[in-house]
Amino acid sequence: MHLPLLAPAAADSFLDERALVLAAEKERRLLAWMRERHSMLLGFSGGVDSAYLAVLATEALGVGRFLAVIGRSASYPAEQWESARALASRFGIPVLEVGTEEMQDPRYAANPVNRCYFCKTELWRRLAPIARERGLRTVIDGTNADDLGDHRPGARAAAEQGVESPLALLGFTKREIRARSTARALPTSAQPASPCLSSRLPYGMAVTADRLRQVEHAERALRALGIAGDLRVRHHGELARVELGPEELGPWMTAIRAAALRRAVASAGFARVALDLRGFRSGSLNVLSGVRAESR
Amino acid sequence: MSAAALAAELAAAGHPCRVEAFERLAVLVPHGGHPPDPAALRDAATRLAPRHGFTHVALELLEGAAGTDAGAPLHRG
Repeated sequence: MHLPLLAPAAADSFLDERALVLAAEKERRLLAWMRERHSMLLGFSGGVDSAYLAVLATEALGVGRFLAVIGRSASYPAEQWESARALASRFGIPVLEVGTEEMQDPRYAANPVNRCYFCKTELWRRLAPIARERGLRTVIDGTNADDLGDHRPGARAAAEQGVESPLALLGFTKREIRARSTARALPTSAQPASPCLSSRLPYGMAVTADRLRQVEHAERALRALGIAGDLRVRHHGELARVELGPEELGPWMTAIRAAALRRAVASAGFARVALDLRGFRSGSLNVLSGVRAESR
Repeated sequence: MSAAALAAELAAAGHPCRVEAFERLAVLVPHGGHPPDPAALRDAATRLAPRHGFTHVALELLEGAAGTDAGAPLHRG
């Protein structure tokens, strides 16, 4: 199972004691919310948020009234799929996989700033009928309260399809989800965020299967070197820009390690490799493209 | 964005390199291979790049530039 972890101490340091009590109370409300809904279908990526929801929904509703659905396409990392399947197997989560074809949509492939809208429209367009056919009354996703302030055009697609976001609705922050995941011994508790591979391409650069494979190959090669924390390989054409978490950036700047890093990324077909000197920043390409202002 | 101005300031700070602009990304190509003090370059570049309109700054890793820290482990313990 491939579940890259942060330093072990990080999982225990998400919240102080009072906040942990509050998070546990939110979890009780979430379980009650799920039982009130009777039955549901979850868009399941295997990431921190949807993994937490999948485990709770399985507990609250049982396998007959809950289904976690994985939408698979070239933009979904194989490593993430492996993690999702492993988690489902370990926790008895009922899972279905469906193929999605957002790559065939020229509006998506052109990679506009609202690219996620077309991807999520395709995803929910395929998942909503499955929920209806199986009598699952509610369709949910893993959007949390922290996500609401970011540039997320995919949220509009979810709203159009009537998808509900219980984590956001009940005010769960990412730290609270990680803390409750730790309390439940979920292997995803300290897993770095892993958005779809298309997020590594600057807006306006066409999304192609070859480019996504390059990014995935490069990130896998870097994981194989022992990089465990936040990691992104950003595609700038012939140049790959590597973002590492702050705890790993310094060590990987030494000459020997930098050479190994370069070889790993170049093996994916990049002619040039650069290491971002500010390190990993969530939504980095939104800032680079001017879609979002820099956080201070 | 002014790649030339950023390069001049970095050179004045003891970090000679060429700067290529990819929109708001500055890519530093150090003269003579891997920089001898990458931490100092990082500090200088992240401080100076925003002054010249760059939101991102990256160090290009050049082929065959390794060799100053031989023996350093590749994997964490």
